[in-house]
Amino acid sequence: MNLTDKGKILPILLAVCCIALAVILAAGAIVLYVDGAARRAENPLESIYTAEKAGQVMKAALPLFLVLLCALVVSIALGVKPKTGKASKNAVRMKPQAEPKHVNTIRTVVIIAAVILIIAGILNGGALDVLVKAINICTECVGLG
Amino acid sequence: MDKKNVWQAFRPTKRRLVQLYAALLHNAYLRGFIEGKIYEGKAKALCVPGLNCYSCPGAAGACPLGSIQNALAATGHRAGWYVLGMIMLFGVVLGRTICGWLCPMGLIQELLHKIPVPKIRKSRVTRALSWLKYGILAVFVIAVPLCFGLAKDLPLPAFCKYICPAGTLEGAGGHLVNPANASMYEMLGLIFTRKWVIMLAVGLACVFCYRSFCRFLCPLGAIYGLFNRFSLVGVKTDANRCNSCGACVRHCEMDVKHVGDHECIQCGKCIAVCSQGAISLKAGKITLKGPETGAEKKPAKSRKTLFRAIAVAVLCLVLVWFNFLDPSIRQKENTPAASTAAVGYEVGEQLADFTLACYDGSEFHLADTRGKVVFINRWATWCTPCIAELPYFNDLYEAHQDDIAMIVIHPEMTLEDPAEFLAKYGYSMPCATDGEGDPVKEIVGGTATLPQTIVLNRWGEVVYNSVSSVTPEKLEALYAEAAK
Repeated sequence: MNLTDKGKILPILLAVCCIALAVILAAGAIVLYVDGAARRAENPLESIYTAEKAGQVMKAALPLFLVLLCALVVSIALGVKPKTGKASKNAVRMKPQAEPKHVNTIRTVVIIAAVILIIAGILNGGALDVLVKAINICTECVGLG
Repeated sequence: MDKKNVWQAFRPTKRRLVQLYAALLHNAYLRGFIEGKIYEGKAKALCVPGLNCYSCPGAAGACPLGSIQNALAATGHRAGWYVLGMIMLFGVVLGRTICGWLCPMGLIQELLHKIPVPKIRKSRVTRALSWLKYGILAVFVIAVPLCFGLAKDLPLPAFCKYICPAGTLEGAGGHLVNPANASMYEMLGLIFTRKWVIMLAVGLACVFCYRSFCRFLCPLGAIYGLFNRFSLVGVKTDANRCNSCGACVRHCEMDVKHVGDHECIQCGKCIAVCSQGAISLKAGKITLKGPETGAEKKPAKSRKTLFRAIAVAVLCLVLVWFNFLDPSIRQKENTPAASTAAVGYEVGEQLADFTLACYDGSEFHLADTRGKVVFINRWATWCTPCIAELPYFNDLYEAHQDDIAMIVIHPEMTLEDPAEFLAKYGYSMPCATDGEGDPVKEIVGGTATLPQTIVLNRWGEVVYNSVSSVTPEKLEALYAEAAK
């Protein structure tokens, strides 16, 4: 198998690296959680995750990440381009979708309605509500916990 | 392949440059990435068009999806007209052009898909999966926040909490990589683990399958898709020229059935493959990108240069404004931090004194609490984990009332009435709203992140100060440690 043969080895190597990297990172997080939860059950003041332990998982994944990066650089240098996910030739053959009737009227009505809603929202405090939520971090909402 | 050919093969397209430009505009507060803090200026009341977590350190505007969930959760108090109007406006003007050209998550997905691995082609399965995002929209974005908001008065942005990979990547990841936020690791638990795994799965899927998140999961794309057919900007087909060969749909990597249907992200890749020159990207009657027939006049070079210069100038202006000039940020920076330099808020230090008027008419004066263990909790009506842990604080207070001084503090800026909110639950612990400009927040070293708990020992020294949720067991353990 030839590496320059628009790549058969490289794409497979890259695919394996990507999957393995994701598995290591996911498994690392699960192991940290299970381990940390057990420690917390004994002592409620214990943290489940720590920066050091998260760093260890990242370190374990680093060699694989570097291999992935190297393979990517090589593939760029060799001109291996990703094959796209297009459908097969007999997938479709159809008439273009007609534009809805009175499209300009619908558009104008929706724009006017949107502007009215925005003004009504500013007046009823909706904009301030958005600001309050946006300038504070709800830890649970972003997945921190 | 020589250097020139490599550049030709991988050089960024105009669309990629626009995507990068838009990603920078969405995250114009670059200082946030360095300082590990979010932008807290007034401009954040404006929603951005793309999916960009507003807890990302760089985010300059509010995420429309997070905002609509919070607005639905607050329906019992006020209708979310503002966010609804914003989304409608974005939808009718741009439709899914936002997904194809402006969304930072779209850019990340496309870059991941650039990794040359064997790809999954679009098929009936992927078309069927593309309906999943409408289910997610109905359940996680609309039904759950609305039901919890109306029935329990509990804000629960279910999509953000359980699924959103943008929140994990930008919001959680953006903070956790910064050493200034090392204490945030304390709050990580099951929610983070679950969302981390989801984010990795979505990222991996994007490597193999074009825009997997966008096609199968993104509720914002589902909303904008509803506007696609009559949006002002979008890919339009000239029915007189089209010979129904289907090349456009075959070439497209999204699950479209027609050019410009609800799955079309208006990227305009089909324009080049149409042999009839029937497809063009239009804004009303103006053609933004048309078939290259050679017969059509290209815009003058001077006009192109002028347009580019304006775009660069706008970007520079936005970056300078958000990072250095915004008066709402400068005002916060100039606020003197905790007037007593000798004291602090780290473990072992003493907090500066403060007095707050409680809702029950009493006064909480920190200096009067010496000899007792002090619990200070910062919470908010819109913060689900904060509300969930309030009963634990109240139970602790009732169990050790003689030995504990406690104050539960709500931020000053709010549209709700925290006193009214708490009255429903009948808590006996002292509760108050922070003063103008949140001085207690400064004293306890608070940030925009909630909930925060501070515990002082009998000598007024900080023994615990953390932004994280607590459990009854943890509170008891903290009390035991502080009471030693």
